[in-house]
Amino acid sequence: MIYFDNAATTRMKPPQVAEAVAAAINDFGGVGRGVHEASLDAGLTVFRCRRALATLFNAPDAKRVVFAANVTEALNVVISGLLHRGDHAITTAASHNSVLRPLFRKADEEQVDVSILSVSRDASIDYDEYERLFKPTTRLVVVTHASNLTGDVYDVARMARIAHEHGALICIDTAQTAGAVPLDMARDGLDIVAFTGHKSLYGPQGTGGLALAEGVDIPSFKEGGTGTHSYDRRQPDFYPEHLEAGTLNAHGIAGLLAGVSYLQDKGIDSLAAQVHELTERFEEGALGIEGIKVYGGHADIGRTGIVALNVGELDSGTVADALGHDYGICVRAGAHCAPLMHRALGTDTQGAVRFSFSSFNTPEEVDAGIRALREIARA
Amino acid sequence: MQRTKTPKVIVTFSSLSDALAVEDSAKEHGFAGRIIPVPSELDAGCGFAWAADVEKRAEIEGALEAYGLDHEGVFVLDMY
Repeated sequence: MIYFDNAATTRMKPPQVAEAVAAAINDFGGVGRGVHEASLDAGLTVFRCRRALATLFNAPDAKRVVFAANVTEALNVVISGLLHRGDHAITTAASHNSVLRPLFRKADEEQVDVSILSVSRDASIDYDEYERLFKPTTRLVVVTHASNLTGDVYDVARMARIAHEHGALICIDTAQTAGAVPLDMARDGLDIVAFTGHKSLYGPQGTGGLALAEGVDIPSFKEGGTGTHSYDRRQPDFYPEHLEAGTLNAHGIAGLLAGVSYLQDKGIDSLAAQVHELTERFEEGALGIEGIKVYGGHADIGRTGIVALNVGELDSGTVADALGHDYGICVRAGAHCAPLMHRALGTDTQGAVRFSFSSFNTPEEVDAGIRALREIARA
Repeated sequence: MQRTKTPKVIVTFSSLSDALAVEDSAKEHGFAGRIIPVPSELDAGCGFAWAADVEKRAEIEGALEAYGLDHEGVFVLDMY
């Protein structure tokens, strides 16, 4: 099998990730549920993971890193908590349904006013048009850091500056960039970073969360046991417990810590350079095939390891199925949970075939992908 | 076995994360103590405290200061 679906989830992880999960399952008690060794081992691992993520994102403190089941849940916590009747929110057409659907729910149920910044056919956005969307009632900007369809990275530091000038908070969806693109909350003025653990952070599925700048306060999303402050009637008002209830996924978080430690050891820049080389190699090869059309991927500020394409007028599902069935190459086809981006690119009927690479892929695998694509295009 | 009370230095915290930060720092820097359930005489909602023999008080207070470890209070209690 050749796995080029890393934008969905990274399948090839550093071996220490699975080792850490296995050790945790065999050893851990519940975080905060006791002062015995099993509970403290779990608690310490979770704390170290918070600290490692705070360092990775340059968040203010380990306590400002909150865990959730995935980035979708994390984004729901933010959108559900911060937006209410009378508020205005801004997003972009590059957003995933993890942003769009919670916003549309707010629009439908609480009449929250939602503006969507358009995306051009080349996947770029106009930052002047973005600024023109602000209103006196704008409370929150929720934008993807990079398109999950084309890999284009957007200038979130610039978007944060503009949001702050208008008195709004900014939350960025880093599903495609956490671990793949260096992030610096303090430098870039990012109020809220929503992350997933199972993509470029190399952690297990079921891990993700939020990193919050100092002073950002989000109403609790759920209420329940924290293991501490048991006599308080409601969820504690301090972080991370304020946004966490129930037993944490310490087994998964142990794996996430191993993944983040791997990244810190190797360096994000170094791994990103490997992915970039593979991406460029693939794109160059694909563009040499007659009938291939590539979408986006050329934002000024950078790209992740994604090449989205179509083969002539072939349905993207047909191409993905041939790659999988005939060549053992795993890619994703269809709508990619990004309906507005497909409309912007003109691919809402055909969908797109997404090749997405990780640092565990090789040039030989990329060349095999190009050969397979050439054969499918010829047929 | 006869159990007798001895004076202990007790550090309390407002959150589990603060207690775990001390645990982590103690493992790294080697200062005395361990996490215990907060004694009922003290009011610390997080339920976790750091405890060591009372003669280690200066060492622990020095570590809390040196490593910037958040905590609520430092007490001395006779404990089993």
